[in-house]
Amino acid sequence: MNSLLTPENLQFNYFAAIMMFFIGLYTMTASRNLIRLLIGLEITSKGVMLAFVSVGSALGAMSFVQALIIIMIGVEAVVVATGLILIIRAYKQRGNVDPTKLSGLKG
Amino acid sequence: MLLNGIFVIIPVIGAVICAFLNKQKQAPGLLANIILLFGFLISLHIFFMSLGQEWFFGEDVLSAFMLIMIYMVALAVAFFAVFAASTKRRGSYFAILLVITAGMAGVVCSQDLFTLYVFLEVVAVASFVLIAFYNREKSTEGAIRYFYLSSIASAFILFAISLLLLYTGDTTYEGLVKTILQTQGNSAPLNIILGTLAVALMIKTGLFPFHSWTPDAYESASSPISALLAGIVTKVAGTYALVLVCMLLSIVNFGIEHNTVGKAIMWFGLGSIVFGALAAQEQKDFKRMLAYSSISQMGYITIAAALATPLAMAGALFHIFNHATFKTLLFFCAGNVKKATGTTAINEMRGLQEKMPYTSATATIGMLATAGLPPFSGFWSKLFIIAALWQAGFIGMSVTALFASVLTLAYFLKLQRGMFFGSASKNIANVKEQGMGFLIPCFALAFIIIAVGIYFPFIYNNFLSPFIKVLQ
Repeated sequence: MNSLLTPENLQFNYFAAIMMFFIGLYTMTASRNLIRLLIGLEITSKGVMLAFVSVGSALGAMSFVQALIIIMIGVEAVVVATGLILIIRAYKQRGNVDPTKLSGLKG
Repeated sequence: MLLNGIFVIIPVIGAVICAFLNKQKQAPGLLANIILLFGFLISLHIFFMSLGQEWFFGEDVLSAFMLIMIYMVALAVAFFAVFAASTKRRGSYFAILLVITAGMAGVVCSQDLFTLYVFLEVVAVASFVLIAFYNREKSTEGAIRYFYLSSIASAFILFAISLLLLYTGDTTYEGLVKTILQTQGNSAPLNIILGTLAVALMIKTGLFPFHSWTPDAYESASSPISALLAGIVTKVAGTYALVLVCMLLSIVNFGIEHNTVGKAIMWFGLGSIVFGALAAQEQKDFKRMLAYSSISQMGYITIAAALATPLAMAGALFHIFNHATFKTLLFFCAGNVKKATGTTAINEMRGLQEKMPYTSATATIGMLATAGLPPFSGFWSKLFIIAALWQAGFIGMSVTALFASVLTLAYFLKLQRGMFFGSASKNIANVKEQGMGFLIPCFALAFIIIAVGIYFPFIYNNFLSPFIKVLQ
């Protein structure tokens, strides 16, 4: 697999990272389900992680970037857990998970 | 200065102890107040120790200044929450309050963009939990909106950090500045990256095009929590980081003081000044009006930070401090009104000043300070910002900011007339003033507003002129 990560091929990595980032953002804008929004968020952050790996490979600083990514995964687990708790609570209170029906607050 | 680490560690230890005291009634609040009081005193001491040093590299006079504010507002909120928080899970409540304080202290003490991101997430997660703490439908909605927008902002921040790492090979502030100074001339990529970072931080601050979560979150959270969010969380998580980015931008475009990205950020700031002031006129709810007023005041801070002249930067920092005091005070007053009458709708009652004289007096002080009337502290910081804009040649912006300040006075007078002034209407015949526990934080903050306004020469010589000198 090492041959795929030569500096010449890294532009594909960046391309893929940016594609994943925007696919995730598109998922977040297009879907009408809070769980799918969360999945879109995850795709976005995986794109960011791919970008970090590519940058580490280009700089030859993989160990530094690995440390950063492990911290990111840890932080993300906490964030996603909190988000799922909020979604479960919204489902229990309202009976649906449609973001367009979040209409208790207006103005 | 290794000492700054204690501002992060001690609240976390306190939070762990508080979490075990979940069944106790008074112990968690007392512990949180003691910890925050000591933190406040130590941060004051550190600030006076570190006056005159160079800043920008984290753990310096700027972070000491921010630490004072964090601990001041957190202490006021914790004191208010001892009386105002009606929950059986007091241990968890104060534990999360301490965690959010630790997170904010971490944000201002970090010397590295990635550490900044980690602590931003700590603050964000603690805020979601605090907004949705009471199991109410509105609070869950507000928390969900904040959750999604804040997470998008975090993704953008991380993407910008990865590009910055690729371009400069470092994420520490010191390394960034060193690399940027070496690679003068080719500043276009750095401008784009820092612009992305600035947009992400604008979402966290709640500036105009990205403001949609702010009113929802402030309205749906309980009163101490909205005071904490409006008073300090958006400032530390958004504006402080934005100030850092703006300083980096002014270093990137060395010699060209008003760079393109900085100008774009200034337009965003001007947009939110005008939008916030206009949207606040239409609001029917006290807390929602305060939220839009917050958006408007954040615009003043952003416009001054993006201008990045010494006078503007001093004005921005001073306005951060003033906004922290008066917006916290106003949210406390909103909490008192809510507790006494059960509602914060503006047109449902009249003449609250007869029933709640102290609350309405402190609210009036807060409102006049927000509008920038001379004896109060808000006047001086707005004067700094408007004078700095004029001095730098942005005369149109300066005039617009001045007139938006008049709009601020207009919506607050509307609120005063609708809620506090006049003779009491029938439906509030049984309303009584709140107890001293609710009023002491209000009095303390009102005292700070008046004292800073009147003793401005002292404040200028001791607190602001060091910033101006170091920047020049």
